[in-house]
Amino acid sequence: MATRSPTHQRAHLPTCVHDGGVVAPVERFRDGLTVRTTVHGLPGEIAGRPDATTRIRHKPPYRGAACRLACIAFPPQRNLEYHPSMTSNLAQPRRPTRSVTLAVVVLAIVGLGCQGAGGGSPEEAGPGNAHCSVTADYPHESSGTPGWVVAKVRVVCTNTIDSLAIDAKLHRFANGKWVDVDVAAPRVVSPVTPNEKYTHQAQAPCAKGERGSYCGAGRGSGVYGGNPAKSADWTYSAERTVECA
Amino acid sequence: MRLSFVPGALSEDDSDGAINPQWEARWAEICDRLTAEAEGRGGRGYRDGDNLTLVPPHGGQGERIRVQLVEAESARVRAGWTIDVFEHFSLVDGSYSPLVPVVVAIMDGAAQEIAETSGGRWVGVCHYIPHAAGSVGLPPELSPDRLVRSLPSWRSA
Repeated sequence: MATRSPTHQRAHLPTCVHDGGVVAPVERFRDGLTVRTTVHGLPGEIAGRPDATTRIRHKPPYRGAACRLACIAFPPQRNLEYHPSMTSNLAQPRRPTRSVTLAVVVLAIVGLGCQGAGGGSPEEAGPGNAHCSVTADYPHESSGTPGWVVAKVRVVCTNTIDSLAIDAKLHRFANGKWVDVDVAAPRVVSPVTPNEKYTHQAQAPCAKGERGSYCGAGRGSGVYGGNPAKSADWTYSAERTVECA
Repeated sequence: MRLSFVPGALSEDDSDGAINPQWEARWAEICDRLTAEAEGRGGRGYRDGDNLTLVPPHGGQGERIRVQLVEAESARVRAGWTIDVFEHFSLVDGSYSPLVPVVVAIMDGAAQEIAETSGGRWVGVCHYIPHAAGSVGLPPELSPDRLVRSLPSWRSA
């Protein structure tokens, strides 16, 4: 069991409820050194031990599968910080504080919030080249499932390419900085039809009456004619204040 | 032959996913289609407004699948222990609509639940669903240390 010191802060994570009560509740503690995840009631068949209580300690640097799963298995992540040396190459949540906060500061001056660059034009236009545009819708509360904030990402490609992977994440402005509240596992599409709109989304729960500033972000990667390519950076939506009904 | 990714124009979609009669009608079509898929495998489908429950054949073979209309073009699919994904559907056939292929893939036993382990300890779960239009979740080749449970096919009943 991890030793708790006064520097530990209990992360405010929602209880993860799954059909059959598989992964509830989840607790995490952080002090910049240790993240402990406690999972009660694991199904014996998948865990190898019936109704086990499992404690997992992740120590930085968070790497590889453990890192990915810390990010994917129990979304959404609230107030969970990531070590900069995380090296996961899939669904990699980067720590948004520096670059995004800087972007916020810069963009706030011109009144654009977290809105990223938009309306980019394809480079290297020419016969045989393919271009995919990445668009992030601004987040909104789901109209069909109140209590969820949803951010959608759209990717449209000009040519038939071999494969496409779409990343989506949802940011929330909290305690003076932008934090990831959900990093969706990538959506992989293959093959990709020209001019078809491919959608992915990130989402996070919100309580009734809860109000927050959110923005969505997306990026793409793919293979065309055997050549891999990826977005140079995340594409951000406009910032939007959402108050959950 | 070069590929590039560029930021698109800022979205002007302000519909907030509102479900208008067009989307309602499309949702009804999809429920009918998935119910037919279930019945074709000896199972059943029950729709209650925004919720569709697909029950596998008698005998406990396969996994119950729950599909919930979330908003325009989006539905939530839950099955087994770990599958809980938001899927998308378009207004017209032929467009990118992975919702139906994903649910059919689960019925056909293509879905995998993956438990990641580290040093003998269980560290998390994820899932992987290959389907006609691509895949959902974590590709298994990127998870070297794992336990995999394939959801049983409804056809095995």
